[in-house]
Amino acid sequence: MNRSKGPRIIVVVVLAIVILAVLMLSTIPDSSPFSILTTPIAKIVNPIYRGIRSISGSVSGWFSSLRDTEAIRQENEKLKLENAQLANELSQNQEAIQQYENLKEALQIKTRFDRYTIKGGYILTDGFTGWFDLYRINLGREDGINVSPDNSYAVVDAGSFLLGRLYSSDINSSKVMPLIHEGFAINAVAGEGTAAINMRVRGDIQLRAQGLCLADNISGQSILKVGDIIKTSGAGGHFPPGLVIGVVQELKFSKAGAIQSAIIKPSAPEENRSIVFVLIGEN
Amino acid sequence: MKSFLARIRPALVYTLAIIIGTSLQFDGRYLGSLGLQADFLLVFPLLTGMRYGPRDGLIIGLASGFFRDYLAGRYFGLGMFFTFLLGWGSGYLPVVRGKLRLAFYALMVVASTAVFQFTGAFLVFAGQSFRPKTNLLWILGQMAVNLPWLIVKNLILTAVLVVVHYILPPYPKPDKDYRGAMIRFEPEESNV
Repeated sequence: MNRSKGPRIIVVVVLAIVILAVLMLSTIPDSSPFSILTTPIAKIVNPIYRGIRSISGSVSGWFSSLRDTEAIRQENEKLKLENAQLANELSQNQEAIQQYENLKEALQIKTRFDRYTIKGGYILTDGFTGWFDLYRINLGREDGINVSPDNSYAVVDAGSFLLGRLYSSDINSSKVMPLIHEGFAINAVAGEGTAAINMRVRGDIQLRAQGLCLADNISGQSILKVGDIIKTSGAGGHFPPGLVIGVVQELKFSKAGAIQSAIIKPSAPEENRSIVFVLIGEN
Repeated sequence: MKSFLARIRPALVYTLAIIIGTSLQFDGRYLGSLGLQADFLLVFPLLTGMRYGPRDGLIIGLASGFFRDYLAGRYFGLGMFFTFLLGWGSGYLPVVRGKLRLAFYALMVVASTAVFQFTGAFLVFAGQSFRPKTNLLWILGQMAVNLPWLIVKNLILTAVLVVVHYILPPYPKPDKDYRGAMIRFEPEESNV
């Protein structure tokens, strides 16, 4: 086998120019042509990545089940008992639930996510470097998701803790920008009612490696304290109010003694994440 | 049928390698949780270019960059630009035969990993959205801290790719058997 001849230099130059043009276009927030252009590839590769991920999950699960057989058996016994107790409680609560639904309808009570459809999706690929990287999930335009500058979607875990937002979408997948990513920012609030403290929560390069994010532009600084729970404010209308972002871990003061910023520890656990939920608004 | 399969063999082998390699690189649950993810999409185009020349290097560089950007990139084209230049450029490196070749691969993997990391540091610094901006030296320092372990992982990946290439090369093995170390500086010479 001989090494292949090099392509003509003009081909390389043209390719470089085209790629740089694509790069410049992609920095514009609503660069939808790319999601359309990648549709055929997305149709082929996303199911492959999903398949590989599920195979690796099954293989790993098989090995871990072999390793943990006795522990699993004991846990199973415990869970069976717990399940029976919960089923019993559930049957007792059925009537209460029905009464609550009737009351909710009669009084037109709105719960937190009434205006949102919640769609569950799998993570297709994780990030790599931790500096630039986003991760990809298997929900896209086919699922009613269409990311644009005017249309953003919150991504949460099973506990409704905020994980991030959708950054872009194509036909059958979307990229998620995590809460700790340097490009992420959201209006947030600590406390409720008149005592609410408004702030901006954003990713920070220096904090990202530790899995933390930063709160700045804090109003009503004097009453913010370590341990306060930070939630989404709902300002902007894309994210519902009340999604838990995290907890204040540390306060940073200016020379004058005012709170300048706060370090936030996200509430969503980092490890073993494979399923996420996207909140899709009515409009 | 046989000739058709022989014709599409490089494409099949390259596609298989990229799909499996990217799955491992971007799977944070197993390798990622142990901190063992190597940069396949950097090492693969580099080795392809060095082994099979600038044309193969360029194509694999483009494909690798595309997957890097498509799967995890914030901006489309950034990874593509660097890996396509890397794959193409590595095709013009001198041809080294024998065991010396492995040392040359290792040297280039170390150099490319370092260059790629430090280029990344400059891009992170330049692309910051909020003020006050993080100091470039701090970012370079962080990259430098991560660099040795990433180099080790990339070298291990290189060894794995060399073994896999021996078992399943994209092009059929030639009949001629070259022995002994040799370095040639003409890129289009035989490299087996």
